[in-house]
Amino acid sequence: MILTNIESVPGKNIMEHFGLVSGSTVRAKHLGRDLMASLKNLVGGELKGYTELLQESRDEATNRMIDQARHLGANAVINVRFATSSVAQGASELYVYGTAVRVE
Amino acid sequence: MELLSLLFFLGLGYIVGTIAEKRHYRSIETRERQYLSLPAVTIKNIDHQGAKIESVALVQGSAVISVDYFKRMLAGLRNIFGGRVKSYETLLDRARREATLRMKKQALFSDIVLNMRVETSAIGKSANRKKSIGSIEALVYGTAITYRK
Amino acid sequence: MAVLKPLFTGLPLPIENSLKYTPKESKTNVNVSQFSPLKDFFALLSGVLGILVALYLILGLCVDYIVPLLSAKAELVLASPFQEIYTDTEDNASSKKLQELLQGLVDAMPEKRLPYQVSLVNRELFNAMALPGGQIVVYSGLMDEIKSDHELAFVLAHELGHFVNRDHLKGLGRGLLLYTFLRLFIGPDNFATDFIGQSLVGVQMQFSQQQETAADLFALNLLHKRDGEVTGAISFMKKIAKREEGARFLNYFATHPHAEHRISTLKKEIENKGY
Repeated sequence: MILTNIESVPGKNIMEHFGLVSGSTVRAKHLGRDLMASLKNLVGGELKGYTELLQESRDEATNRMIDQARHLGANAVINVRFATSSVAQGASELYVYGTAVRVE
Repeated sequence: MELLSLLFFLGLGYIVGTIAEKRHYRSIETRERQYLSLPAVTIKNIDHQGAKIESVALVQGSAVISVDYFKRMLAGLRNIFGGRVKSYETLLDRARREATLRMKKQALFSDIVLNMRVETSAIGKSANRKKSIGSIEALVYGTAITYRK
Repeated sequence: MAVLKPLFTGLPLPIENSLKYTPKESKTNVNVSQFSPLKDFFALLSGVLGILVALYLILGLCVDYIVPLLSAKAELVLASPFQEIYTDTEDNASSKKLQELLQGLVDAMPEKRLPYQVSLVNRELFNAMALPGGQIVVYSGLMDEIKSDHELAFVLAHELGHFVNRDHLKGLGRGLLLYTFLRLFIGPDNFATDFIGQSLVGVQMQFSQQQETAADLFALNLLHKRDGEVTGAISFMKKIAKREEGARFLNYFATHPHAEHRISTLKKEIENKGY
């Protein structure tokens, strides 16, 4: 599966499209990580736990979008966009969407 | 007594919430089939293949969906252990699909919606607190193109 | 003058996707996990409760360990807020009788750690309790029903037993712990607080039942030491048993064990010691 965030897949021709595909996920870290993060907040710096959390969520959401595109018979998703929102405290919500296409 | 009312609200939330969700999904699925011929895509530039353009319009749709008491409690518990907060997945899925359908309804006579974007925001700052409403708003917008026939 | 040529001309756009749309319906919904919410709920809830109960037990043991190390002086300082709880204490023949009974019992005790006092409070309650700082409160509801000196002496000796075992401080410490615990980990306005709080109260009560039994045994031994006989203990318990009839099912959440259970424990002790 080819993913791009431009309007095309360079070097390939887009034959047909299947409309929008999207993947989303909500994930949370356990209480210990939340506690560590709030402690780390006192001194600043990277919150490793949360970086990891968001990365996991993004991967999972992307995989879900790819699954959906595969179901539709696409082999590429173009113009992919990521969006983050906070549904619940301490949980991250990742949304990724794009246009499913078949390229040759 | 407090325990009893808690259990009552949990039960109520679970039963009514589940029924409402099933009904909403059925309605979403029928309407999605209805609008299947109208594509909404994230790309901007397409070859209109010589077709004359009748009109161009910004279309948008939004929906605010709230989560039931049971699912909120489930998410609160899940927050302690970490992992996938499954009970909020349907909430988001429903809000976005509903918003997309409302946008498509606005673009009913158009041929394609270009450069579609999705925004999500939480209403009520801390959605998992007792006194606020755990709800989200999904906003979908794009440019609807109609060809002259 | 030469006109500068722009390096990037921008338009016309280099890409024009010639797109054919193929409408297709997605058969599965990838964005929603298939799971049983009820099963998930109970699994998570029992996990939370298990962890909380375990933590609470461990912290409770810490309290039990620290409390005996507390000196009498420190306890009196801690107890000062409790001195003024009851302003409607009675001063009459009954309260004098109680004071004398207590004095007799305290004289028979091996160590007098605190300045023990007893006050009679005018409430229609069948109860007595031990407050931090060595103060025993007896409600007039109990006083009116129990006429025998032996039985009253058993009640006072039971409360003295709580002081000797530091149960009053342990109870306080655990109560404080429970409160802090719920605030800290679950938050003051969380919907789960009520549920978990109720469960921990159940655990707390089990502890308290053990303490009551220990206090009963202490009272029995003290009575024997002073009077050489323990008739008051059993006859008092029989009165409680009578009052308790019809409320059996409350056992788990009760602070005290069943009167019948207490009687059998006392009888066993009497047999063992040969009183």
